Amino acid sequence: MAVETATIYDDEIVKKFAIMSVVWGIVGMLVGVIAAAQLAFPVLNFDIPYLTFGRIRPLHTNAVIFAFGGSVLFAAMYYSVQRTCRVRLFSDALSNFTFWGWQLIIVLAAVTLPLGITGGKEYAELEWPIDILIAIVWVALGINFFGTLWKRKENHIYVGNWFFMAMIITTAVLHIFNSMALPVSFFKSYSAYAGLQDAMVQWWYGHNAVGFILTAGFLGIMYYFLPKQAQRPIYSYRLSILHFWTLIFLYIWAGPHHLLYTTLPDWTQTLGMTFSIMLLVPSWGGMVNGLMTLKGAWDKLRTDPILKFMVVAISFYGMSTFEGPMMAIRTVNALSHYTDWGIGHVHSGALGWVAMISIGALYYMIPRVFGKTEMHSTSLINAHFWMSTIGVVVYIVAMWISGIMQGLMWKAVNADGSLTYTFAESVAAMHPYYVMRLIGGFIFFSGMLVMAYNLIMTARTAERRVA
Amino acid sequence: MADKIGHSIDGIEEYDNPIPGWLMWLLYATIAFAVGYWVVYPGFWPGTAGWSQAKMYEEEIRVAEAEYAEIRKKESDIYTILKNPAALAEGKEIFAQNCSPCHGVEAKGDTGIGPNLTDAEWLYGGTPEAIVKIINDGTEKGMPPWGPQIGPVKVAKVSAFVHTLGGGQ
Repeated sequence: MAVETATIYDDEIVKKFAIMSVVWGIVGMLVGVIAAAQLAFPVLNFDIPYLTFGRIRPLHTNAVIFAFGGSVLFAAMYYSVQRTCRVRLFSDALSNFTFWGWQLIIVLAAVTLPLGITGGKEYAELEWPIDILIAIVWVALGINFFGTLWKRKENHIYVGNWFFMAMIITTAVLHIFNSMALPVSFFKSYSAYAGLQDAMVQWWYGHNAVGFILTAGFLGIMYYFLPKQAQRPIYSYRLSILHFWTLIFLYIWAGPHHLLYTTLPDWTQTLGMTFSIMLLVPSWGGMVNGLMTLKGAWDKLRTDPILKFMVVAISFYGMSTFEGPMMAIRTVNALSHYTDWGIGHVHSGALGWVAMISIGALYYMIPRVFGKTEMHSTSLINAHFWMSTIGVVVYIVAMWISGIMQGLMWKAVNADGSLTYTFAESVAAMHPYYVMRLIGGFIFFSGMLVMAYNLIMTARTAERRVA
Repeated sequence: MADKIGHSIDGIEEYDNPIPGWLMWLLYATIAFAVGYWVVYPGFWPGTAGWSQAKMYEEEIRVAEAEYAEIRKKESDIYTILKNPAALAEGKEIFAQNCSPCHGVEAKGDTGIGPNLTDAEWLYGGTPEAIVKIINDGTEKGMPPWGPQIGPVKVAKVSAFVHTLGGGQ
């Protein structure tokens, strides 16, 4: 079996993406820690323009979503699609092109964003030449992935691959249309859309980057790596079908909930809110299918920290997909919008769900692509698990408290109807929670260093054995 | 457990379990809520509640105006404030927060942006009413209107403070 694996499948490409996932995870989260430190202690800007919050914040988001999350997705897709189709990837050349292309994009992002070169659209800051490069690499991924499915030897297309297909197609559409811009120079362009329409296109993109990359893509990861690690069958094929189609149908309409109480027409806001509420069950379908797959295997959680990562990830997925629809309700949004509650919500999804399911999948893949059966140290995986869990809980609790406090302080009025607090007073009140968030984020980041050590040791012993 | 469906992909099998009933009911409930909301609120049609964001804003402003009118009128009487040291101290605090960036911490106009307020020279009139009007509405030279930002009570308190700066003249 081992011999067959080595000859049929391209695991070198998986190895490359898996290593870079850990590297970019560390870089992206370190920049996040620095950004969090600056919010608590603004002096840490050092008055250096390249280090100011406004420039490193997009660097952080791009690094964790597209560099870390993107590399994990490439690794997991390339690993699982070969095995679920029982064929090698469609084209080795395309695989390598996507690897080097994606890394080039990340490096360009890391250079241009601190220089202040930005299109100004959240989660789509990169300027037009890089946007074109992203589109080319993404289409290359599409050809490579669909080509692999085309030549598959397995009759059935596995559920994990449905989610990857939805991600690849929809992300291409979102990226291309949101990035439409008129270049005025090599480093500057202006959006093709004006005013409110620009905002609506932006959040159609922004919310579905969450929906189709950070949700559908990582559900694809869950559907392959969870049953493999737990060695249990998927709980319900029917539930897979229902929650896949409802998820991709409903998500695409939910973007306007980012623009409640703005000049967006009332009817559009209503659609955004109601589609967000209907998204609850499609999201929970994934959680139920994941957790119920563990039925009869719960005892494994005592001894298997990789499975712990996956189960806690699925639990955070369930929690944040409940929180999201609630925050999309007009009256709740009136309190939560523009506050740190949003930041807490994003990180319960991004750290709790995306990062933890990614880490679980990486711990599954890394030993296997290095020709081993397990990581160098299981107890270090366990330590990483607890650091991640404690880190994310500290982070989101801090943001819940500060978010709700902000919302209440901004709304508070005196007996004569004047505002009780100035904005600066609300900023000052956030300080302890920003320190708490910094601590939580730092703990989560430190866990990634433990992972890097474990990866290096696994790689070293693998080499020694081969030698 | 139900039967498995007839395939094993890379060793992964799938059960053909029915979807849990509570989950289906929750799905129906969220759909019913959405449809109900579309009937009541503007979405596919104006909605039975007659609600709109613009109307909501107007209504909240109307209620607030009614609720705060009396206390504002009472508390924004500048002659009462001038006799009340505590209110004047508040005026000084409001000045420090909002006015000092242009008029200077000492109100001497040493920033070069806003004029000196401590001499007996008033560009737009030095009566209490005139000062209230300037702070409330701003000036053509670039002073912003503070009425919409800090409300009539704070405008009156800071106006009273500014009036005392010029020696009450």
